[in-house]
Amino acid sequence: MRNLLALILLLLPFYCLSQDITISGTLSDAKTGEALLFANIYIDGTNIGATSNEYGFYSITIPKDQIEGRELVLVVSYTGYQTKKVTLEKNTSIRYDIKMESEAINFEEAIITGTKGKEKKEVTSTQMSAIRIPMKNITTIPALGGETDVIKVIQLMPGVQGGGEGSTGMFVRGGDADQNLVLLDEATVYNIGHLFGFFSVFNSDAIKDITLYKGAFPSKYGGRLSSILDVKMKEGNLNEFHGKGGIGLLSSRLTLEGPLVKDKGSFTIAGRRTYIDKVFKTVGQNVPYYFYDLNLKANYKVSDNDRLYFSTYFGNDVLKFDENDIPEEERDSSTTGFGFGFTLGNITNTLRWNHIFNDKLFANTSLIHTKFDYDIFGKFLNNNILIKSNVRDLGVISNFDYYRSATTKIIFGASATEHIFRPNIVSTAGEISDFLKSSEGKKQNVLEYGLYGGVEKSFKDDLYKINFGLRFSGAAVEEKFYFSPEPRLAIRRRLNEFSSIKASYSFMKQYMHRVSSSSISLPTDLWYPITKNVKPQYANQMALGYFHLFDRKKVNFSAELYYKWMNNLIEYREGANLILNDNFEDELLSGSGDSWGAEFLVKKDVGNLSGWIGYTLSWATRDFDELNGGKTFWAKYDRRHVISVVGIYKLSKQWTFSAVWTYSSGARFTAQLGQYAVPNASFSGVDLVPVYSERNEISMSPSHRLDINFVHLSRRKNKERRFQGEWHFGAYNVYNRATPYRIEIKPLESGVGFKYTQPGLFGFLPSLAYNFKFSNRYEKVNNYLLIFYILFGTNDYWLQTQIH
Amino acid sequence: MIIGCKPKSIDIELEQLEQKPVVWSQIIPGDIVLFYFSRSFSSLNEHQNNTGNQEFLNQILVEDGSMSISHDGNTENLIQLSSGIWTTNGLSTPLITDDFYTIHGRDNLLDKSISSTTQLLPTVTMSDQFSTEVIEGDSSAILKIEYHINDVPGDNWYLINAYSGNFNNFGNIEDTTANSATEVASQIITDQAYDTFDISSDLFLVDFQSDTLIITLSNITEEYYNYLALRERGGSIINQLTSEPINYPSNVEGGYGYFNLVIPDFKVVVVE
Repeated sequence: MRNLLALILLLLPFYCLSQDITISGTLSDAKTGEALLFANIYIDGTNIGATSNEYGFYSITIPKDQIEGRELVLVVSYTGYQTKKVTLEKNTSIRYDIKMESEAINFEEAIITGTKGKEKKEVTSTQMSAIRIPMKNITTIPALGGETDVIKVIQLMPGVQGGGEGSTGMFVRGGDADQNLVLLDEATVYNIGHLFGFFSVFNSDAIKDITLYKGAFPSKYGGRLSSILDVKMKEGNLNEFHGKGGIGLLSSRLTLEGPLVKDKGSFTIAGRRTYIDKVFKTVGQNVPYYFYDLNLKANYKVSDNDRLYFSTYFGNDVLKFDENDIPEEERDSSTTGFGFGFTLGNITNTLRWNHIFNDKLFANTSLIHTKFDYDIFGKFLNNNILIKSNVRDLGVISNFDYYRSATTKIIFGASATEHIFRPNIVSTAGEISDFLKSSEGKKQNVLEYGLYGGVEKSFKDDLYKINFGLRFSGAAVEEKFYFSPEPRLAIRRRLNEFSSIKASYSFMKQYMHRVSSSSISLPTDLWYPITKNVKPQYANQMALGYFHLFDRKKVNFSAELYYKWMNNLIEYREGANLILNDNFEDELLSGSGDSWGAEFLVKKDVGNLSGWIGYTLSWATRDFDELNGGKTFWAKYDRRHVISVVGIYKLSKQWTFSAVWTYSSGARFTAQLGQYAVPNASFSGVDLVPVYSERNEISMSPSHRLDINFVHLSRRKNKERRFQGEWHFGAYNVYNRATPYRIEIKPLESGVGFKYTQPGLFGFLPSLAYNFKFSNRYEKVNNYLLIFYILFGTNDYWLQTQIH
Repeated sequence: MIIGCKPKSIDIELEQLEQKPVVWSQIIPGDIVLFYFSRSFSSLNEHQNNTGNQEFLNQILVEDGSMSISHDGNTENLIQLSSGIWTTNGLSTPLITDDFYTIHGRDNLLDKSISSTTQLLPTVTMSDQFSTEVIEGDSSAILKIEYHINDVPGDNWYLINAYSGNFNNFGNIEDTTANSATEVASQIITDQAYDTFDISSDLFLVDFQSDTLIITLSNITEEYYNYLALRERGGSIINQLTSEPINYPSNVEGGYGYFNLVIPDFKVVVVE
């Protein structure tokens, strides 16, 4: 590997000696210095162009013969920014770092303005089956309890289905919840939900960009079958100190960012905490639960060609009930010292080095650490039990982008990650330890590798574009080595300037799994690696799509068909013992699954009216010899029709109105239909044995819901005013219709007999939230850091130690 | 401030469970086989919260029906003792170890028939050596019973039951062992985990009332063992909360339940 890299680096300068000229550099926001990802850069009047990479680097190589006799004008466009045109010298390769001026004056205006050319990328790129969420839209969209949530916005996109109502579970193109790789600055996030999944772990104020890949996976990604969710944190303002925050119904948040060294380095720190526990305490109720999270990122430009980043995320869910915390006057006389609770926490750390070797070669190398802990504890009289489970990753990834010519881009890289799984570490004390011994659990190490390369090349004056990638993945576990080539192919053919068709094929392999019987987080939802006997899951996926840009209206339309077939899927055996079971392999079954469907999306990112309409028609099945009597059954989240309509309308400079209407066929359910009575095994009594439908045979009623939100932005008296606030007046489930999440058997109103009903979780729920942003002179930064510490640093030992 | 409305639940029309006959069998002392013949019922049945109700029992116990047993090419009609109970008492069909038996049943009300076949496995005995230990708790006691099985060659599956209580009517067809017991403990084991023919294990009887115990050992089929194991695992509260529902297997064609023939070995143990 090292020799190959050396050879490539040695040969690269020879390419640069050709007669072509290369324009390269970085793309950033003029005010904040934040790198602008995936922006369109092209030479005016030609089909020659490029897209900035995920760190803002771009490189365009132009054959001399193509610019003879014409002016060389570089056009750069990016949603929410003024399109920039730059006339360049023709004869020399240059480095040109581009700073883009935002068109936005305030929060909303960024989403209602735009200029020609930006939306074409979806037509011209080979990438399909991908969703990029414009972060600026997210804060305006209605949200449960006024709590903005990026995962819930993703759930509104075609091909992505949520779990139960309000939850952050994700089921992509008929896959399971554990088949989504969630990356935060390249580090895996194993648990994406707070409060049993009602909130995602992503603080929207700290997030810069989110891209979800449902298929046509670039070769740099691997490790999960159904989706890759790539989340990038904000780097921080290089020029000015800024802050923003929000006070919501259930939680509050504060984000501070600013320069460490002006134009050289910056930081972002963002914290969030619920106060469910505090709110209920004021009305005398004890709800001993809260969550908090903290994002921190810092970066420093070591030179024009080198930049270092460090980012970290820390979040915890804490439930702690202790009988001793109940006021004495309310306590039962028979105090038993009863207590229980759990803590559930993610930590990610990424140390990244961006290096520009030359005008064609860009490299990113990252050291990554992730830890996911799940602790459950309980006590009763003199008995104590603590059960700990965790997954820890330590890895390195190195990725190279090589812009070989005007028509060819090459990527290559490698990754290696050590996963350490420690499920079910048990510590007991008291009498309970007589029959439940303390144990270290079963520790397992897995070394997962990836070596990949890919080339994107256009032909016939960009009529055709092909992206071929090959990833070699492998995992070493228990003296067994699994290895697999994972081919990826995407082809685009232009039909005309505004439309194209695309096709893709992906092979994905997964070396770990989390088997869950429910969409909410449960203590039993532990991650397990592959073993000698439990083989890696794998999936093949094919997709075909049509993409069209209605240029006058700036509306993108896409239609995709897909078929995915999955093997070595994992399910628990019927009646499996899920708690404290180190021999989990015995409880796992292997099977297969298929999913297929069509997805349609009409999207408008610019103008006074923006938003999208998405429709998904899909099917998903599973086959396990030992489940459902060996018969094929529907996947739990096999929903036939899903429609999302999202609209954001700018009423005036101060007011914005947004609405979301969703329709979804019901999730599937195994319903108890009847019973029969039989003697028990000892013939000492009668057991009532339930009779269920076939597995996931019953489809719950369809659900539909309207959520609305008004945003009022305070008027600025003058441009120098440094504080600005906005009020959010929202309503969830406006017409109060139940979104079924389970089936209940209830007595009939007549009192004779029973009926099946489907209750919903949340009805009409108004919400009020206040968001604000401010900027200040640098010398006052310490005051804000102090406020930050007071708000978020006093509740947790970790925060206290980190901030000190 | 949190203000919200609870949405009205949506009623649904689910296809009701198709009623099917249910069969269970038991050999009582005297090598008499009892058959329990009933019907499944919908979860929407108006009596489902009160299944001890006589009106409900009348609905599910088969009164208008017939049952027969076939062995070695001969078929005999079973004798109906009462609503839902049939017996081989008085028939000439012998119970011969390792032979196969088939039953047929018909529920005239449902107009449905069932059939099932099983093998009578040989009786395996327990050693007369039992040791017991009383573990005193705060308000009750647990009786630990150590027993020994005289295992036989081949793979075998066993059901062990321990009963404490008043056994004055023991052996009475109208009042079987189980009906007289106040406390019962059951355990299933397989000899595959042992490399000896002297299998020894412990059984725990919680809150035992009497110093006289009856302990039975049944040599059961692998299928019945798997059924009992699944019932045991699926019945735990944790499993019911965290696992997918289980449709339990049955060896009855056209219905539910289990046709199983075992002649248990039983011992009377007096707790010292």
